Amino acid sequence: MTLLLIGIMVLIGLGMPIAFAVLIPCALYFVAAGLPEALFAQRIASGTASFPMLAIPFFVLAGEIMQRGGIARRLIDVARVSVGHMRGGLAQVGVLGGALISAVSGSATADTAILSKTVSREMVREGYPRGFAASVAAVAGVLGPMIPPSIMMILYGLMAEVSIGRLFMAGVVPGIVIGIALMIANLLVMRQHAIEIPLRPKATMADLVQAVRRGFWALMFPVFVWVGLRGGLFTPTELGAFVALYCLVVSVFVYKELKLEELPAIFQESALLTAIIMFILASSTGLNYAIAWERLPQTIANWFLATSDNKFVILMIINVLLLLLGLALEGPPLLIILTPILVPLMTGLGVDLVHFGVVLVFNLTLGALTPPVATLIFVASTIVGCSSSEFMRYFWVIFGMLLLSLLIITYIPAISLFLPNLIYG
Amino acid sequence: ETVLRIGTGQAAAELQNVILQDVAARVKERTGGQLVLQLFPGGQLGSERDVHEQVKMGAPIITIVDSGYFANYANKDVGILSAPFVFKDYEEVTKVLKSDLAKSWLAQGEKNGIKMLAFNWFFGDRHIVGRKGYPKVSDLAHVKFRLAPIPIYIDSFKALGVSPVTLDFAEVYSALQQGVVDAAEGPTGSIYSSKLYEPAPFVTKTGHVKQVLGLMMNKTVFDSLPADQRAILIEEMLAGGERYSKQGADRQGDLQAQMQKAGVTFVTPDIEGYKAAVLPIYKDYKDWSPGLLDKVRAIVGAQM
Amino acid sequence: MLIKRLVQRAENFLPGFLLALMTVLVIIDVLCRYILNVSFAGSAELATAFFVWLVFIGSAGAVRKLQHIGIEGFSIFIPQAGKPWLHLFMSTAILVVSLHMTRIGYNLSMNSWDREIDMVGIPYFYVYLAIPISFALMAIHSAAQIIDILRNWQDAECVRLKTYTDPEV
Ligand code: NA
Ligand code: NA
Repeated sequence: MTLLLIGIMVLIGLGMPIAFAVLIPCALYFVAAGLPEALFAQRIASGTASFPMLAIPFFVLAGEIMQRGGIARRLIDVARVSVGHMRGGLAQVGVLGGALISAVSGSATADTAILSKTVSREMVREGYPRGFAASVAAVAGVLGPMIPPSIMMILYGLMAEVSIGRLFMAGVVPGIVIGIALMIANLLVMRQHAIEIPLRPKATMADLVQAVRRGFWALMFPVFVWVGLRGGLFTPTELGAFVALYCLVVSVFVYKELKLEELPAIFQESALLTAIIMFILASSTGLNYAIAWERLPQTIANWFLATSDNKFVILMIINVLLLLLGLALEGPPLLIILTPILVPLMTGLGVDLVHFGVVLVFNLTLGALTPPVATLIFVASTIVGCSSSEFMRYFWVIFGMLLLSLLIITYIPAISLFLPNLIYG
Repeated sequence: ETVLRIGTGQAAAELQNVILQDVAARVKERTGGQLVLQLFPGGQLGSERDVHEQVKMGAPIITIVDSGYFANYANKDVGILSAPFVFKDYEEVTKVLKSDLAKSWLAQGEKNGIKMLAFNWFFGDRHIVGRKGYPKVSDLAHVKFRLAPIPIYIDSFKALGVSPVTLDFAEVYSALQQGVVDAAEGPTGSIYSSKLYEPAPFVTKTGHVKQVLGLMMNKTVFDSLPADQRAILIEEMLAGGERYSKQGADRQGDLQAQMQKAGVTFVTPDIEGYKAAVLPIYKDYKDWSPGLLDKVRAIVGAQM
Repeated sequence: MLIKRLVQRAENFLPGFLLALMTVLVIIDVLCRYILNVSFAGSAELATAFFVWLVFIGSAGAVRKLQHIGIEGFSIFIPQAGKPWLHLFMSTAILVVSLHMTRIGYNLSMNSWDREIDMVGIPYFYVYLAIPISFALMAIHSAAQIIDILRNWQDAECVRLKTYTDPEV
């Protein structure tokens, strides 16, 4: 078992694609354990053969359509007229825009890519340091998995057998808390580096009305998600399909920014991205089987319980461990490996699994911001065009605020649980 | 020492897992620690169907299997054990399970590489839960009815006149609440634990399926155990089945009392009318050998 | 060469097509449930079967185009002369595991004629077949990459190690 995990880490470190870095040692493990050969193939296939998983391609598709069809731009316009006049105007637009886009898209990477191409580039033009502009887009991406819909929450819900509707609602208030923390962080950075940008004029009421009217169908989106889930009209999977359809109809027929001829390319790209994500997931299903077969969760739980039986202490240890693991791995792969190990432990400690899901998803998303493996930083600094040292100069203060939010969300469960309990009782 | 893993789909706290833990402890004690059974509840080894497949492939796993799924590995005729409205009570089912017919099914299973350790774990009766009671078959006409995607359930309930809707079980509560469906069916335990009685406070006690589960493992793996361990394993699994069936039946009564206290109305239906509507479709049911229903009724010794 | 072109076409076209099919299937199923009050038993199962094919055929294409996500890790410390060896190692490991997966995937599908997709009545063989076919394609692609590396030993590009680049930048 130890050999298996070390093998995976070494292969990942060598630069092997993550799916194969997991697949190869697992295949060896199954042979060495003397399990029937076809069993491994079955695990790999079953990682994808589940209807609830279909939510993932649907939300990927919706995100792709949103990027191309003008929905994202309109949401950023709404953010611009609402907070653009504040101190650090465009930086705050980045945060609010990130929150609005998160309410449509399911993944952090997509959000950061959109923000980098729009708000960050505009920030650079207006005279903000490149590193700051890239930081804003990179960190706003963490709102993506917190504010529903969220691919990470779906993955967790499926593996932990927790209601996805509840998880979606549980991410909303923490998402707002993080958003506020990011806005405060922007002010701190502006002061620390004495960044002086002339304040933008406050948008007139007419501008505001116009931006909201132009973005109406995009802003209606969260309402649509809300009603669909709350009303029990759709399962989360079906919701995904309708979200994609909604984005498509709005982009093609209302905003007329997407031509039907572009559809084949959109479907192809979404399918490719889905395949890449799901192939990692499929390989991890083999790993999960090995982990269960060897009773690793029980061993780890015993180890934790020997350290302490106080759930607050254990939550702290887990948060630190997750942040450390997040240095080298991130997002879905880590979530898939850790959920089956940690959930039994949390159940034993009496931690609410919805609350834990929010903590886990947020913590692992932070992994996308911690070098050396930091997708959100790569995406933002590549698109904005800044070096990593330039980026880091502005980034640390903001990241500190994110860690503070993590602490708050971990130790005040009510922030997560208030909304789902209100809605679902 | 030999380790066998028991894979189940239900959560660790469910009765079947509690009993299986108990069985594991007894087996360990009686074999002097030579045969260790480790429980993997909650689908840790994969979905039920996946684990069945793993057993067939030859993995050292014991798993719990419904008669409907066991049919795939033995003989399609086994499916009659989970066909709605065929049996009146568990005595009838037990008669069939003890008959030569059932023995021939188990033998066929072994020929296909599947050993049934114990086929006496009675899961409980399935009833209809709805926004109304359905005492007569005619009450079910065009009722939007949630059914699991199992062909024989769909066929038999169609014969009752319902409009079947196949939804994921997790969605049934909200579907009943929204009126997406008017009724569903399931065992008392699930109706209670999923709180289906809240949006649908009428339980029509059709008891249409007397669900029976068995514990199966790979024949080759089974044969590789020493004879004494094989005997102990079978004895304890059968004894566990009896405890499970007994405690399960008591629990059903408790749950009914609790639901009644919560304001649920229990309706006794015209079960003969139901049978008269459904049984004809089993006459020449496509999956079964001809005349199966008559053969089974003869074993039970009951009139059609 | 014609076969090569056909395979590439299929790898590019099929996943997107299946995604479109899945979307339409799920939407029609929901609409029928609310508007026509009937539900197509088996549409979810069928969509799931398409999804398996989407994922594995799409992954095969991603192996050919070197699009699977990896990290730079400590490979940056490996001297230039060692890089061709690293590429050779990785492509060979992928080739070997793909061949293994092709074989056990084939066994799995052949053993699954008697398990049917619920409510559709199609043997699971056709679902699992995605595994051996896709991994066979991956084996072919990685074999081609090995030949490529051996031919251009000196300037074997760090293709596997490229980090995220935005096409628009
Ligand atoms: Na989101
Ligand atoms: Na990281």
